[in-house]
Amino acid sequence: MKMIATHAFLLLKVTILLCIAPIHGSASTVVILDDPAPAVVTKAQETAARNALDKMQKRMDEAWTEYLAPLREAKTAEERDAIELDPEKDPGVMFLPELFKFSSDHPGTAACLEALSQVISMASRDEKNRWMLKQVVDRIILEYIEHEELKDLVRFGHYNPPSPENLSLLRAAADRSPHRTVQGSAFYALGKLLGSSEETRAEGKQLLQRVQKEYADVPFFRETTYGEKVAGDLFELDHLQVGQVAPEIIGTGLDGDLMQLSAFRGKVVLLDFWGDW
Amino acid sequence: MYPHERSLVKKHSADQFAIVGVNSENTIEAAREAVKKNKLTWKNFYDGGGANPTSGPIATRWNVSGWPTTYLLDENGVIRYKDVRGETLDAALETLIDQWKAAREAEAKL
Repeated sequence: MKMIATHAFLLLKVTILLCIAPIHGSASTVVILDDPAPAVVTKAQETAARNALDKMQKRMDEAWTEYLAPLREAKTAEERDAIELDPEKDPGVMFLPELFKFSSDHPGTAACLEALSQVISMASRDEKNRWMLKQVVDRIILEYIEHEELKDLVRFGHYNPPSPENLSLLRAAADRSPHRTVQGSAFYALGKLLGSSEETRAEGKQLLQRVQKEYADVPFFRETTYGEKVAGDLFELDHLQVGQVAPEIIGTGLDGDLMQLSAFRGKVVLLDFWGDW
Repeated sequence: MYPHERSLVKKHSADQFAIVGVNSENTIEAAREAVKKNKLTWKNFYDGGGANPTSGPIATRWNVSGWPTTYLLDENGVIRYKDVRGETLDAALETLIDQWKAAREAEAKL
């Protein structure tokens, strides 16, 4: 019952938003009845939103710890592989309605943008909650397209599936953000997503080349810049696709011997990049 | 992943199939230990990058950003599948082994 009530509430809220959007966007509007995102968010509103999100985040962290406990307790890789976690109890899915409601309760705040970002990555993976995606993307474009914090959302956009919603958000950020950091991150994520499927590979490559030309100095993550990052991605697009001869690897084996990938020609080879961390 | 890989090696022991690992442990000693612990019988490149083990030269060149990442190559060294796991991997491997056998039969007829 609780779920149904929450959904009904969200639908109502979203309907109001959608009704307002066209009025708000029109230049000839004289009276704006309501604003979905107050232009000025007070410090008190920001703090309240931050505190509420931190609290929810803490509960989410606890839920994840509990959910993943069996994996932690497994003693061997075999045991770990045999464990099947119940997808119905996935905290990512369980917290979706709450995150969605949170974002409606705290419009315009930086915390709201973080919550919307989490909704995108979780709803992208969960068929039942896909309906949230379009609404969340519309809201971000309406309320946050000029925010520099949008960078944190689009930076890892290529880890979400290339759904029409995800692509339209990245395109909007790339084309309409006034910040180079947001533009560069959005072009990169878009290039990665389009580059990963054969039909759109050429466009993906073009976008990554554009990042290399125009946004190479934009910081990506930790110490790396997009210039460094994109060089590897372009190599992958050009040389590591299905149908291409694998680049040669010459290196040291674990016994200290010299090893060469091409020495395995004549055999079917499973090349496995691994680490036992 | 290890048990599945070990089972593939066993299942295809009579076929021309090999697993080649690229390991990104902190040190080569740790890599040897991991091989022993997980009972891996196949050859491995050592690609650890020290303090930042995932930034070794091979993984960097191959633009690897998640571990494990796998490539399945045919007998000519051509990339045929990327990151296939579980039953999809079994079927993909089966396909390539069948192609290998068909190629030998075709050669024998010449």
